[in-house]
Amino acid sequence: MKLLNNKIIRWAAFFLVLIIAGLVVDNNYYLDILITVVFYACMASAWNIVGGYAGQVSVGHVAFLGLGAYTSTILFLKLNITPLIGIFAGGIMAMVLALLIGFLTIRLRGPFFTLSTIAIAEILLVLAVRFHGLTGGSEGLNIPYRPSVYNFVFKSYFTYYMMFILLMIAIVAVISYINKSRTGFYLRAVREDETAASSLGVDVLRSKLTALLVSAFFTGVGGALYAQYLLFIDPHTVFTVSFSTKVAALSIVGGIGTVIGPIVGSFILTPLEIFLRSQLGGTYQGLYLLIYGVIMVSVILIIPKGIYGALSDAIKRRRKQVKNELSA
Amino acid sequence: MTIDKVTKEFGGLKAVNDVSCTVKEGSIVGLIGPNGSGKTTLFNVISGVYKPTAGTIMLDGKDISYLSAHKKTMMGMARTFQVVKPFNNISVLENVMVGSYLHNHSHHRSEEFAKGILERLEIDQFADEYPKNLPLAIKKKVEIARALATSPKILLLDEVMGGLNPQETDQVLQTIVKLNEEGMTIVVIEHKMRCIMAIAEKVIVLDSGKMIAMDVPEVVAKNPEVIKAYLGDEYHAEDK
Repeated sequence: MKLLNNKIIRWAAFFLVLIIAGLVVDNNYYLDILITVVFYACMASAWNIVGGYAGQVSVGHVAFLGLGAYTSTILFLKLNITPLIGIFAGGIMAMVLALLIGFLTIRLRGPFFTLSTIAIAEILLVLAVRFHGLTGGSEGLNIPYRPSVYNFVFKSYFTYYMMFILLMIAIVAVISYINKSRTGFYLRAVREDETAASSLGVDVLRSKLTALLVSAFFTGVGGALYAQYLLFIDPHTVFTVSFSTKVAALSIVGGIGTVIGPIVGSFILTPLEIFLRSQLGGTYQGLYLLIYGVIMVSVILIIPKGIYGALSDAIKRRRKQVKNELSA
Repeated sequence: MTIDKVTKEFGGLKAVNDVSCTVKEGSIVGLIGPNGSGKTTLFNVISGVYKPTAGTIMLDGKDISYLSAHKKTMMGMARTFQVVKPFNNISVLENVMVGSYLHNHSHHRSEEFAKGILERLEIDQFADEYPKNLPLAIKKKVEIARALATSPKILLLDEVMGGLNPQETDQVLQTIVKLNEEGMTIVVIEHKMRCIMAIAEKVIVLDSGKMIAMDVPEVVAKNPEVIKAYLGDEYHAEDK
């Protein structure tokens, strides 16, 4: 219990620092960077439930993001339902999609699952472009700027920032719970070896589906929130596969299959990307992507467990060493 | 457990061909046969990794032939794998906890239960290690520990003594005998004849998927067909 409390205190301190950072920075440019960082931390963490814990590498996660964004936006624009409800509706629609994907693809292992998730994201992209009447097609949908709580549109960036922080707290809480629960153990067992897991009584399909549902819900909610923040969505922003690869990369670089890893990944890589883009974007088009790519490949080659994974291993080794020295 | 006319085909190949036998509750049964004779395939069919092409498997009077692996484990059947399948990136204790969570839903209780099993198999000092860093003998024990953690009534052991030195082998043998004394039914695939002879009440011999003998160990060891299957005509099958 003491350890648990300790962890809660550490997380509370972390979020407090984030909130204070948001209060101190009253420049919208920097707040936007903070929001982007926290948003990607949320999305990478949500991806990590399926990709990291259950070991099912999805490159179609953007489908959940886009569906969440479109659900809340369409509900608001066409039916005038407040995004306060729409956000959760977005999460639930993403879960429905996850259920469908689950029935179709969850029996597939390894790269076959990955490939089929790309296909599903692409199908949704095409559908979003084609169903012009509902989605506005390629022109996208504009959410009118009329700040009010009912419209879920705010004047201050800080309010949005707090929304994303709340989402992150929810995600961290759920993943921490999963991490220590039977579900978490079963997911890791499935990731390591499906045959061995099922021989120990693990319902492999159910475990994978649970992970996919939880992950989809948070990604859908995140997508809806992001739409409210941008006030504009179009198929090529919210259904682009590069979003999925990005959140996967953040998790992998930060430390896959850990609670903290994806957050570390986003807090290092997202500002780095923004910095490189702003510094190099004007001079050499695309150079920032090259440098970003090289940094990512190097991290993966040098420390395959990710930044957090490598750090915690080093700390464990050090502790063991100290313990051995003490006992000697 | 009753196995009735079980057949498993892969394409045209009958890996297990019309095998029938009974495993009495509380007994130790040995399953032997030359390489490729279908022992592991039979295990895979029994434990639900494969579905049988034909035949039925009954456990406690229930037909479990087509149940999936995890459901069989819930009913009290556990197994180990010949080629060990440890969860390499989680600790030994966590490996065993995956098993113990089946009947212990709280984290604390499943951890205590798993620790008890590690102590019992004398591998508790490796609890925090990752299996990938451990020698084969310990991995094999982790494999047994994990299976035991599901509190099985019947345990299928697939060559758990392969690759162990004589001392380690004896240790595992003692554990098996002790588990059996506590009422666990055990089916053992083993190449070391000495081990089978020492513990099995009944030995089943497979050759090319067919069952060629089923009897007490002493009789099986002298069965000319068995000796021929193993070594040709001039030798007898003692301590290969």
